[in-house]
Amino acid sequence: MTPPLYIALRFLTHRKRPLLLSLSGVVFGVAIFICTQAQTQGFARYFIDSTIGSNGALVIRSRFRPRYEPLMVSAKGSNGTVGRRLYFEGITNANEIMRVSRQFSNVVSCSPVLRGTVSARAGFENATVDLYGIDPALHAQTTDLLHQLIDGNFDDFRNNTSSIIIGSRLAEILQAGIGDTMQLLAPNGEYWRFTVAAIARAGIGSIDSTRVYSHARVAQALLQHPSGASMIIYKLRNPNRAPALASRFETLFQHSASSWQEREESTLQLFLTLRMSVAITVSLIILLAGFGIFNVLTMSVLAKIKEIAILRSMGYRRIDIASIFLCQGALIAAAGSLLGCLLGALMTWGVSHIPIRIRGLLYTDYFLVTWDWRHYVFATLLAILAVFIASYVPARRAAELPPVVTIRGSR
Amino acid sequence: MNSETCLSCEAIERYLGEEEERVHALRGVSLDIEPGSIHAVVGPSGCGKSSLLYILGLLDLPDAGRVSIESEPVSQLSDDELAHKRNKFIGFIFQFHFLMEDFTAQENVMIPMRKLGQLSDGEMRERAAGLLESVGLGDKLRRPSRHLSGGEQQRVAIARALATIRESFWRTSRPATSILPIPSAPLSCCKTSCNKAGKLCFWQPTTQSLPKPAIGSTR
Repeated sequence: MTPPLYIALRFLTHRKRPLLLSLSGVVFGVAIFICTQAQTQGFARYFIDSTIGSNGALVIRSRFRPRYEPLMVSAKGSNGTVGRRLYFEGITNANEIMRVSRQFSNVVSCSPVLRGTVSARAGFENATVDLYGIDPALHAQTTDLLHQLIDGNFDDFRNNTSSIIIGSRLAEILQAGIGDTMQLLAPNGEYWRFTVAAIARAGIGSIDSTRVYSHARVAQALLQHPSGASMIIYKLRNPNRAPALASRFETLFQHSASSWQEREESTLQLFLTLRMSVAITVSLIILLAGFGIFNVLTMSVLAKIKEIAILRSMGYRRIDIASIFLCQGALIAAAGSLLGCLLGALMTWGVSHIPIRIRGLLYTDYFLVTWDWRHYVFATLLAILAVFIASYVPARRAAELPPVVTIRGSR
Repeated sequence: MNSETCLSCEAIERYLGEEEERVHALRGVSLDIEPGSIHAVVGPSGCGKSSLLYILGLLDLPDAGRVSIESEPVSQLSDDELAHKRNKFIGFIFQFHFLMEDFTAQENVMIPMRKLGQLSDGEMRERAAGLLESVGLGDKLRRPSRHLSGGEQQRVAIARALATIRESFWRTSRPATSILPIPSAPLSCCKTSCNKAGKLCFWQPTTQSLPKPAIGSTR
């Protein structure tokens, strides 16, 4: 053990109250940072997993044709049409697009979907629903539909073309259960009867309250749609690279393609804003802890002026004196971060067991948390930085104290 | 300065204070000190006794003149080099003891040895115990320094001043200089210190009623 570290340990342990004050500041700062990040990211992560699991990481929709620049140059300031596109509803040649896109290494699987909005009726209740005509096998590979079923059987749906899967909140709204009949209104005014084979819960309110899955061919007949698919949903190995792949697909297939990041931009912005807001609040707590440590160490320097002079007279260099106070800060940061990480994990675990009934944007019965090692590393680095800054000024001040002045003035 | 000189200073000037309160504390002080001698710096209050000892102890720098230890000028040395020389060659016994309150008597004596870093922890403990034994504090090694009486604290300070001053420490056959500036310490302290160190000793007596500053010496 180096002499400055040895002396720093002694100085710290002999002043228990200031030590506890500094330590508790760091411990609570780190713990609260970890816990709040785990919560806010927990909700965001749940939303992202749910939206990718239900709607895919990437979606190809309408075919488009670029609108070319006219040969005559438009006058300055006039609103030109450069870059705009003409869109045509539906996917042209979905099978060929899927065959080519499967060649991309990031693509795990894809599923064509025929989508339309219809009215639904069950018993005396009515609702407007989002009908997804799907290929059951392909859709089960591409989305988390199988895992989202909370009631009924997927095989019953697969084997019966007049059966449907409905969202959990829609089932509540229409008071429909497994085996009940639900009628969907075709554009020609005719009601088609379906049996509810399963109920799915994606965990996102907008999906669970409107989504109805039927077989693609049945949906095509009901919607009287000329093409077999209005969109293709993709499951990707690395969903974070979806924007780049979407751009590539647009160029390649001349169909609009949107990544989940683009699709859910507004909700993701909301989560990001929330996380930043919480991070700023907690960083201020850590900063306050830093001020506490600054005060404690400054008081310590003032209280130890005589000791500093003694050490200097015994041959301790300025850097040794500064090291003593920096070591005190480092010890507080190390112990505080370690204890803070443990407390943060405990608090996160505790929060994840708090019952909370959310039935809005998300569906959950408990606080959602995420366990991410980066929260612990970031909280520790933040604490170390705050403590280092808080220790540096008192340490430097201690090192610059002239010993003779202290010794002359001491009685 | 002859070959026997272990410590010398030449034309030392020292001013204290700022502007109107500026005092000319030392005016052209020159000294040549031989090893193994005891010197007493005497004079009335405020005549610059402590200022001289701080400069000779490398704790303060003169405004003019030069100080040499074993013919090596120290005026141009850096702060770190001066600290190293203080650690190796100089032991201070302050008038008000100046022990580290958070440490025991034995740990106080070990502090300069820790900085020198030439002994293991066990050896340091053994040497500190020996030094404290020799000043009559063998039974109070582990007592916190703040729980010692004034006299006991003074003796711990003597032991601490001697902690790094031993020829075997720097393992050379050449006799080494050790300086013990003792501002305003009792004579008994001075004698004890010098007997232990067997080297050069400065003593600043507590009696400060002498009319003129002077430095007396004995061997």
